[in-house]
Amino acid sequence: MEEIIDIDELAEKQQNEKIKEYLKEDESVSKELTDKINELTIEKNKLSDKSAELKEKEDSLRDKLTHDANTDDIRKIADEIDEIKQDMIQISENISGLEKDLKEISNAKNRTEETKVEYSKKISSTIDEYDKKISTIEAAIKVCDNEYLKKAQEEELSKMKETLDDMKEERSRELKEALNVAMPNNTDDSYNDLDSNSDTKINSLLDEVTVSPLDINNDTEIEIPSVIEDKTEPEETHANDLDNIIPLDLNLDFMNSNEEEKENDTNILTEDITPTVDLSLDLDINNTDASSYEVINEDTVSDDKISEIFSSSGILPSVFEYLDKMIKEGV
Amino acid sequence: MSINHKIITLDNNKKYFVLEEISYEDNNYSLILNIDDETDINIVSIKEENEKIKISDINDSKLNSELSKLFKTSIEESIKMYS
Repeated sequence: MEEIIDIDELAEKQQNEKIKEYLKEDESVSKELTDKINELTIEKNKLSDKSAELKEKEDSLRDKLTHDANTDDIRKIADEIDEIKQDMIQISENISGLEKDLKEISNAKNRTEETKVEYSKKISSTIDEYDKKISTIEAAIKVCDNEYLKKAQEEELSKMKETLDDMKEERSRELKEALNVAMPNNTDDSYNDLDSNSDTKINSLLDEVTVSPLDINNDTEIEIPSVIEDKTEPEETHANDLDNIIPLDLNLDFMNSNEEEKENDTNILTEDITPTVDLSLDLDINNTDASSYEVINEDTVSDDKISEIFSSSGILPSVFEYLDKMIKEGV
Repeated sequence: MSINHKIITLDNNKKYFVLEEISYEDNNYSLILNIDDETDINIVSIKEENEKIKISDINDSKLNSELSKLFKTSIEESIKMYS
C-alpha cells in the first residue's frame, strides 16, 4: 500500500527540525540554570534542617537548665546555647544568600526563556523567507534548468546558512553573558554536603557551612542580565541622489486612472521636502515627522500588468541602476 | 521572495507601484516606483501604526545597500517568473 505523505506537514516537520538545531544551546543553558536552581534549593533545605536541628538542641539545653541547678553546668550550658545562637545566625545569613542567588538565577532563566521566544521567531521567519526564495528558484529550475538558476539557488542556501549562523552566534553570546552574570562563581565543586556525617558535632557542621562558597557569593552584587542588546548602529545621514537616474520612456498610464492626480504627482523626495530640510528620513520607522507618509489606498495589480512591467525594457534598467547605486553607496 | 505587487496611494496623492516587498531583521521594506515618474524609485520601510500603514525612507546607507542586494535578487527572480 502506498504511503500518503502530507507535503505541508513534512515541510513543517523539516522546518521544526531546522529550528531545533538552532535552539540546542538554549536547551543546554536552560538545563544548566534549572540544575543550579535545584541544587541551591536542596542546599537551602539542608540549611533549614540544620537550623531546626540547632533550635531543637538549644531547647534541649534550656530544659537542662531548668532541671539541673549546678552552677558550673549552668555556665557550660549557657556558653553552649550562646554558641548555638551564633551558629544559627550564621546559617540564617547563608540561607538569605542562597535565596538571593536563587532569585537571580530564576530571573536569568525567565529572561532567557522570554528572549528564546523572540529568537525562535527570528529563526523561523528567516528560514521561511529563504525557503520561499529557494522554492521559487526550484520551480524555475523545473521549468528551465540552467546554470544561472542553480548558482542562484546555491547562493540563497549559502546566504541562509550564513544568516542563521550569525544569529546563532549572537544568541550564544547572549546566553553566555546571562550565565556569567547569573552564576559568576559557577564551579563544579559546588557546595559542601552538610549531611556527610550525622555523628559530627553540630559546631563542626556549622564550620563547613561557614566555608561554603555561598559566603563568597553573599557579598557579590548580581545583576539580572539584559540579553537583548541594542544593536542600533549610529545612523548615517544620506540624501537620496536621483541626479544620475536616467528618465525612461515607458508610460505607466494604465496604472493611473486619475489624470488630475498625475498632474500633481511629483517625486516624493525632491518636491515635497524643501532643500533646507535634511532629505534623508529617519530610519526609525516609528517616527511621525513630515517624511513619513500614510498609505491611504492599496490596489492589487493583475498578473498581466505585472508581467508587462517586468518584461518591459524601460523600467527595469532604471530599477537595477538605482539598486546598483545604492549597493555601491553602502560599500 | 514576496509576490505582493500592488499600487499604493499615499496621503500626498502620489501613487507608487510596489515592485517587491521583503522582510529583513523583523522589519518590512518595499521597493517602490512612482507610476508617473519612472526615475522616482525608492526603498522604503513599511510600518503599521494605529491600524494605519506608514512608509518612511531609509537614511542608513549600509542598510540601504543590504536591502538593495536583496531586492536585486528578488527582482531578478520576478523577471524570470513573469518573462
